[in-house]
Amino acid sequence: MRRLDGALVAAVVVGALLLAAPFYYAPYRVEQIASALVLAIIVLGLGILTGFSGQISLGHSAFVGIGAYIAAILVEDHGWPYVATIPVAGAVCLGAGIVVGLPALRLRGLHLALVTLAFAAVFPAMLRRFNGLTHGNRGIRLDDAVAPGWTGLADDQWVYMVVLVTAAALFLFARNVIRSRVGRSMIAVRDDEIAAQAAGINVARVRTLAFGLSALFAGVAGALETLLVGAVAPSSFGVLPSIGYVVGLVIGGVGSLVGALIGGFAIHFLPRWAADINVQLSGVVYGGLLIALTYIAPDGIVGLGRRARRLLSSPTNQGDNKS
Amino acid sequence: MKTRNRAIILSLAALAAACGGQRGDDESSPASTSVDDTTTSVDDTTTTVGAATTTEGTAAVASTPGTEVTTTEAEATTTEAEATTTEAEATTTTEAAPASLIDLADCPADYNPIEGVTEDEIRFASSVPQSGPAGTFNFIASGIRSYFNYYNATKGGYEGRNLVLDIKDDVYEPNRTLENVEEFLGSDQRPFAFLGMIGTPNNLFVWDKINEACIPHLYVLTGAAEWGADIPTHPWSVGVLPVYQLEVGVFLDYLVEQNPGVKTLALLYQNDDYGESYRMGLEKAAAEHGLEIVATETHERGETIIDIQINNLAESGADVFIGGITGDTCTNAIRGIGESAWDPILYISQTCTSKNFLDAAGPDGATGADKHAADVYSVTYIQDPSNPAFASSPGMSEYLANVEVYKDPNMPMLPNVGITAVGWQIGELVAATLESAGELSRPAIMDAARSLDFDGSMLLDGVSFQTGGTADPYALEQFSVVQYDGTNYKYSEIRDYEGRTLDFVDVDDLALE
Amino acid sequence: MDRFLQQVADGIVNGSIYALVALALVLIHRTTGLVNFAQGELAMLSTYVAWSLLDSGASMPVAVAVTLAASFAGGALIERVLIRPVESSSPLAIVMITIGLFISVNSLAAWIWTPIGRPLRPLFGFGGDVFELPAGVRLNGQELTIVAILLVVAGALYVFFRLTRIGLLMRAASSNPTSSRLAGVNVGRLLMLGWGLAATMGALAGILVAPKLTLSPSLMLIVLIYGFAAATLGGFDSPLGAVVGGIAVGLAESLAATYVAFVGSDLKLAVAFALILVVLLVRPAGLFGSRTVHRA
Repeated sequence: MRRLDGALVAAVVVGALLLAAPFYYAPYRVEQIASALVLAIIVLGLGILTGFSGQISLGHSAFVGIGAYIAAILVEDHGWPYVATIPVAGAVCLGAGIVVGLPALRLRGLHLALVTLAFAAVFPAMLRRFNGLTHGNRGIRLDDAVAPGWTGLADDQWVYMVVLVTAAALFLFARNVIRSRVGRSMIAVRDDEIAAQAAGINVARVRTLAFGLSALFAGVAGALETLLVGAVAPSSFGVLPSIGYVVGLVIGGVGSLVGALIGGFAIHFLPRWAADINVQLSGVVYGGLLIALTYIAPDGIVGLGRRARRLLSSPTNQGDNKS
Repeated sequence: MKTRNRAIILSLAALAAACGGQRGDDESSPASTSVDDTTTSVDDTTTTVGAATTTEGTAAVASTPGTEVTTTEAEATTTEAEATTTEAEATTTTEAAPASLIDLADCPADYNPIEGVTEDEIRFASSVPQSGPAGTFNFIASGIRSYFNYYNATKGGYEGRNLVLDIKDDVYEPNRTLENVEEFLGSDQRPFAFLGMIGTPNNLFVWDKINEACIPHLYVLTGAAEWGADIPTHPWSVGVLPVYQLEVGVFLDYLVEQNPGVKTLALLYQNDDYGESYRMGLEKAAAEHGLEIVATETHERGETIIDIQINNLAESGADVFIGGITGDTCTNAIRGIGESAWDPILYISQTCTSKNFLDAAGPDGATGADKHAADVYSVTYIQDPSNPAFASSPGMSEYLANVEVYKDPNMPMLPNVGITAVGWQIGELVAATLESAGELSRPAIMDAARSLDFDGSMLLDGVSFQTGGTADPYALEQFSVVQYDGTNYKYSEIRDYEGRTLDFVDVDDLALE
Repeated sequence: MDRFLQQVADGIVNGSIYALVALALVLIHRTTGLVNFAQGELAMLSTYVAWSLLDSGASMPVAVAVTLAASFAGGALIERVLIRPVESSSPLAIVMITIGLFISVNSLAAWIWTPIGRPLRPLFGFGGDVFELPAGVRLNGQELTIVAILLVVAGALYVFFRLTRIGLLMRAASSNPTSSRLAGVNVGRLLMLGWGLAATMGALAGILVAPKLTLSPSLMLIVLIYGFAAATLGGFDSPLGAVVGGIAVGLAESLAATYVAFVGSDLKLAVAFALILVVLLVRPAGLFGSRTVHRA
């Protein structure tokens, strides 16, 4: 019971900090934190796919892009309110993810990773190609989101709250999925596909569902990004962001909800801090940091935390266990 | 509570506090009161309460380029005195310049026209690619900084104030550009002006915000036509580079003049906004001359393997090859065409008009494209630092003697790279703009930028920066057509297209809202 | 007809480049079971070393020899120092190291040599000459060199793996390291050998390609993706697959971009992607990959 309390307290504190942030920080900083939350959502979806279902995707920037463009097109060309586009983006990407998940059934590990990588590489060119829909190279620019009067919030605070509430909802959703039968099926398939099948689990359905869910998360994140930035352009999507999401997953810790949050913040802020240290060598700093993290925390920051906890709860440290 | 959880909470709190960037009292525009205090003690800080005129409608700009938007068409409105003004004198800019296009009534309530100016400094801000695949652009910023350092050291800055350029890296991603601009806008030290930002979608992402804040968006470094085609909505944004559509139109005029028998064109362009501008410009200019574009190919930015495209274009046997391309692709295209059996007149974008690009395809480079190098054409407006023919010109001598001496040690510096010289020239232009502004304030510098007549020291003889309000919003409209023969450049006489950029642009194609 | 054959020829040349990169990837995967995301960037770094040597007056043979030797040493060192200590971690963690290397090496090269493009001379003096082959096909000497060297390298690897003792030991070590160790095989040294060889091949690919594409830190970014495509198509553990895969990808994109109406040059990569997808759906292990019993 104590263990649960500790985690709950930590969650409440983190939640409180996140709630307080838009009232403490300047708008530009608030938007950065919101961006990190959006990344956390993507990493979370990827975590469901990789951590719990054992499939690797290096192509999720395409789903983010689909979500982002759906939101932008609906708002700009059809006058939708921003918030209404979020569920649509999620639903469309759920479908897209399932469609992608079908051929993915035949591919394993490395092959799946590289096919999805090619998918991400091709995506910007597709956006440019279908320029009747996507407005082509110059992208789409939208009016900034405006906070509704009844909230009493500033515009940037309102946007942040939309992001935060959506992120919280998705984290709860992920937690429930993982603990549900579907989640347990995913874990079973990941650990031993043959045994899972023998136990009566429909492996194909579970795996495509995992793909669909992870794409849903990415699509919602894309729509949120459109809300945050107020614009989309093809050059925002491609191979490098996709690789970034996997980096976030590994830094945070595969298969951990908290890890997704840490991972999202890490991949948003670490490259910028590296650039602040030295712009010319920012890659060396950031890359070096990734290598160092792999050594220090091969199971991610969350894995590091677990190891630390084990150390601290060893018999010689009994004293610290009293809360 | 467990030690681990305690530790997590403490570190999170420490992190949160260390992040800085606290909210100001006024949420919508972070307070800049500290800057006000320092600037009121400085001389010459009467803010311009202009006889602000707004032009009637954009139709005047778009449909009748070349006609003067006279003040009689415009509505004269005088703005109310702002809180920080002293004597409300309507100041107009120098010479016979049009009246100010800036209407301070549209600006935020606590607007400070001399924000970013302190006793010792005038702060400029920029967001450019400094790392990643587009990191070459960092040379431009390096050139600007070098000039500023030189100017500060040798001329004591502008009226005793050093010109300072703060730069943030955006890796050519528009989202990062927006982030950087917002960080500049939200900081305690907001800039006097934004300067030299790169990338068309990047600048499109931010120009609304910058204009809403009434901060100069100076000398946007892309050849997109947007930066002069929408002054009523974006009065604070001004470009400087020649517009790509104009460039290709100039070449086509020259081509038809010198080679009347030419009939067919083949186009290779980079698949982004940059290349697309060439396509749009070529389609328009070709139609006007009755030339036919018989083959078109694209390549992705960053994709340097273009054999397939070259083969397809060669198949067409067109008379002329037009390259709306940049960087190493120019070199690869020249080489590729040189090796094929196709022998067209070869034109490449002015962004590649530098010996260090073209030599790479010459006799000592990878392949012997010398038989085709005689037909490589481009246009240019600036002296090429890698061409020894310019070494002794006054502007080039000054540049070569100083650009490396005054460089920022943390930035790359290669004097013979063409874009470094562009950066140096932009720096000089900024200083000249300040000097021609009647006073040191944001509206005044914008008015000066819209009434330029400056003979940049690095520009070719006969080329100068000229702007004239909404009638002539584009600064560089004079070119020399250049022919590279494998060893030397041959420069044509200056072709003057002053005020005619919009003849070559279809405003409907632009990203204006 | 002329254009068709020219496109075929260019497709084969480009495919040879992809195949060289794919071979390096396959080599590392066969010996250590890993995917090296930094393969391209290391190749780029080696190419810059060669360029620096040439720029300071070294002759081409000397520059190439020194570069290949240094690359071999570098690759072996990376395996020993960076990869070996975490060899028991999850594959994803090790991939992180290669991603970290990718990012660092790219930034380092841009810092040392600045991002401006550099011309690199062709390997042989005749590299700049254009050869007119039958049926109007034109290739320059460097392009012919690329194809020739690919064949030589592929052949050498075949001989190495099948007919030499070390090659046999490497195959044993990668398929069953524990038993190999028990049999007295110095697995560690073989791993270093694998990475060293891969780095050398990458360097060779870079030196061959740079004269055509111009040397800059971005030299290998797109080539790496094609190399991955080729290796995936061929099956990640087969050198023959890498060669066939590379040529296939090169040909497919060249012909599809020219003759399939919907596919333009902007969707060339989509062709490679579609090709791989189709093949993998039919043969999930790739064209020549060995089918592994999938133990989830």
